[in-house]
Amino acid sequence: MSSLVTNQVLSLLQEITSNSALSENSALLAEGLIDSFDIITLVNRLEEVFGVIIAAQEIVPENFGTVPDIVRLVLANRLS
Amino acid sequence: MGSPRHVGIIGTGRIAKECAKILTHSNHLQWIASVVDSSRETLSPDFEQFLQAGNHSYLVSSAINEAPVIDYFEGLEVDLVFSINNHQIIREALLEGIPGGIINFHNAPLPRYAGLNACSWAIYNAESEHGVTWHWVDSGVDSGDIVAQKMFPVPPGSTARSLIMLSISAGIELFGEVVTQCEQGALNRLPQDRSHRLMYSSRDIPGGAQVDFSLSTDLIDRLVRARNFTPLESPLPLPRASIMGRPFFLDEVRVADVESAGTPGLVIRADEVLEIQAADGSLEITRVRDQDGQRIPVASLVTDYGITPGMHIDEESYV
Repeated sequence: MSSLVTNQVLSLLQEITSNSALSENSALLAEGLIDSFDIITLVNRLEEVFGVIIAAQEIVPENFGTVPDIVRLVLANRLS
Repeated sequence: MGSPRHVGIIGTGRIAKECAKILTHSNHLQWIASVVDSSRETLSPDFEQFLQAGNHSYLVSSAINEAPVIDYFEGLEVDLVFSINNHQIIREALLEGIPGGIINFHNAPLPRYAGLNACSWAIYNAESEHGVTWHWVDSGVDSGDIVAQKMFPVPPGSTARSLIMLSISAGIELFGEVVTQCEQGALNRLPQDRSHRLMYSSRDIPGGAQVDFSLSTDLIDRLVRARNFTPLESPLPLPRASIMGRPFFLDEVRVADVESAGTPGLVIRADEVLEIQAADGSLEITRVRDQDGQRIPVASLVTDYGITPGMHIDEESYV
């Protein structure tokens, strides 16, 4: 399930940033590949696509540093 | 044209970052100093990260009117400062330390919507257009002369959050015009028409704390959208209602397509959507929070609170 979510998250990120070069290993925040606007847009899309609710307290840089960070966030909310 | 003017930025977020990028292309404005406003938590360190990556000089401060910031700008002979998504009030000591003045970004079409929560009030007041303003800072609140202003339509269904994002994008676009004015030799100073001034403070709440279902569907829809900052925390109290003494909060509603009749507050439908009768029709509540303010699916609220059609929203929540 994790690899399916990873692919979907990556696809959403590429769509939002119009950057097809983004990869699973990209340092999204550290390299400035996404910013606050992208995070808000991404959270809305994650909620739509995965049917999860992401609390405002979870919208912190630590949860958006890399694709695996975002996948963990999605899966944690799917299970909760 | 003389030597480049030394400029600084005080601010945070995407808009500060994008405006800084615009300044790097100016021959007339030499951006040499920045202060990252740390008075509020930010979603991501957009501006600071940009400054670090580019090896730009900067300070981080939650007290921009104190000596370290004033001395920093003075030491670098900064002549003009842009206040961009800066949440701290600029006091006289800082203003006096910048010979060419300070220009602030405000996410509203001044003189209307000075003060706080401009986008929320624009939605609540059913504005068809909103705008953004770059203005000179003076001793008042958002009262200085206007440098540049841009209006744009408010898309139907806008929320506070979506209108803020549109305003930020408009502000970035308009900043190019501010820079052009500088390069052409003189920045505008258009006095604000005080007779049109409209200002809201932190004490003002669009629509009040409680949702009154005896109001029209349109008005309730606007007051909910005006206070919808999801997925972020709202700086305004969430619109509140209660049923059988248990409060809950409304994040999103939509006006139902089909006509309905009944007393205001009547529960018409209760499943994955909560449909409630208002004065002139019904509203479908599609996003809610429980009494602790936690976002939960509407279906969970319905189950947890035991809501069924035919019940009524507590009258004391809106009378």
